Amino acid sequence: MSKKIMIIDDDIDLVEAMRITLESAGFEVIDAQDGVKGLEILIAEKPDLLILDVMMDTQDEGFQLAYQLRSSDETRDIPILMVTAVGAQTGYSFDSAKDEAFLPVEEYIEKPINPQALIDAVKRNLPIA
Amino acid sequence: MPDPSSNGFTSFYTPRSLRRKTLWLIKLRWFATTGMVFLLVAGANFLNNDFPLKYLFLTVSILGLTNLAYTITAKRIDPTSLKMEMIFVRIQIYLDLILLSILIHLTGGIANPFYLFYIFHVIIASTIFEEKYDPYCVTIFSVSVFTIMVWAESQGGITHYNLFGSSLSLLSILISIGVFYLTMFSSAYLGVTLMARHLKVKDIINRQNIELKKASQVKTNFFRFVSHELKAPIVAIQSSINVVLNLLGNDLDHKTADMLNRAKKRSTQMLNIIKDLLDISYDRQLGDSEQEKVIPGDFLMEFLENERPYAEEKEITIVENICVERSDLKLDKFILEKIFSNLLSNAIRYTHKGGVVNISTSLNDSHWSLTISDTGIGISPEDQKHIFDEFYRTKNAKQHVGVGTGLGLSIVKKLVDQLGGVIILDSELNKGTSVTIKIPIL
Repeated sequence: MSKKIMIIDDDIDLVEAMRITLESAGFEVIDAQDGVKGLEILIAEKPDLLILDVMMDTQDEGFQLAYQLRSSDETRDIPILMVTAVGAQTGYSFDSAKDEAFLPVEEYIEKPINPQALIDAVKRNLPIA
Repeated sequence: MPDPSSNGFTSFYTPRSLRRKTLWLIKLRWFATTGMVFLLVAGANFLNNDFPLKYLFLTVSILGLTNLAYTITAKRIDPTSLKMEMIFVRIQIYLDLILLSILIHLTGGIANPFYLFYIFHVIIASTIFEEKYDPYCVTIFSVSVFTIMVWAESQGGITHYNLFGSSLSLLSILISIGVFYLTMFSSAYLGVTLMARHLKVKDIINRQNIELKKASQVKTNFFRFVSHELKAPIVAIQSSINVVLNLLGNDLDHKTADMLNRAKKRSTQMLNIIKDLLDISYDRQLGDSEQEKVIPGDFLMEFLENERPYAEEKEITIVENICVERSDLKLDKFILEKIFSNLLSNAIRYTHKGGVVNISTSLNDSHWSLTISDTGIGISPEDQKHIFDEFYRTKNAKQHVGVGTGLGLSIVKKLVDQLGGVIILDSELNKGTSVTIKIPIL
């Protein structure tokens, strides 16, 4: 059975780009455009991995959602890849090694999406079944 | 607007603000005149016949009349020229000094501590005049007039009003003590007035500072927002192109793949421009403890490792000569990273295949220096004049590397300025370029 990947991102073109990439690598992809809907679908569908955008409606909606997921027993174990176009120059500096303590996500992926890097990151972080 | 005064420097006065000084002087003078009239009337009964009461009243009257004249002038004539206002103030101060000298002469010359009042004139002059020579002129004028007066009195050239006699009379004690009290209280008044003004100015500066910080924050937030909004579509475009190229790359015919690669290159350029724009608009609040500090040399080594593949791709040799660093010397990581990446990427980009890029640092008591030199295309003397201008790219650079924003060096310049450092460019067309930055250390 193929692994189920969920993408929560408000940019439908990016979602599409990621979907095509992941489907080509044999994954099943579901998506949502905002955090609230995303959470609903996520609980119902129980994906194997979540790809989450940092900024959606608010500057840190993605972070809020990541916290929420990590604090619930039901969703705690779903690995999260966070997609961001935010570099150091905006004042937010993301470094998964350093920020892991307070930003509980597995890995950061930089936009624009590099298909091979995305596939690699997903494979790397999928729980061993 | 402050207009330049006679010798060409910019005054911090406006004609109107200098006029306010005049009004302050007039107020002080009324106070002094009233005080003296009161003292003379009160003392008239006690004073002996030696006291030149008539002349004293005359002098005080002249003081009052001149003050009346100043008041009328100030009311009738609007302050328009700074030069005229300055002349007005000078006339008042020097006339005051002459009248004070006459009063001192009439009340016993050097025998009367009244001459301490010269001090107030010097203090007032020092707080009003912007140029240092003016208060010293007032001082020289005061001591000269007083010296000549004392000398003339002692030589018998002019009358010495011997009010104090040789013994300590009650009158002489009262006058001396009265003058002493006045001196003390006037000093306190002047000090307090100056302090109040100083605090007021400080308050204004503080408030403006807060406003500026707020404005700068608004600007930064705006740029963050705009950059995110600008980036999002390009990111989506590039991600889509990437997907097509990566997943269907082998099925695409050569022309299609070529066009997509061009589109990808241009979208990368756009992303770089946005990134550079953000860098240049972003004011770092130096001294903010939250910023990460690094030892520049160590950080440079680390940084070089990441950049080496780009150099190797072009078969460019990187020669390092990084000095021994002081472990207590740390600089802002963000700024260093921007400086290194811009200078190094320039050196690699504008150097021909097989060239050499030299990187050296040095450290002395006052500066940490970095020199990055290359054997690249160089910059002509004409272009060097504009090389730090925003968006400036030399013809040569455009021919050599098509894609570039023309912001790199202006970003470096801005950041080096923020650190209080200097940037030195040395370049010869077709020979190479050397950029040195010197950053002051504590």
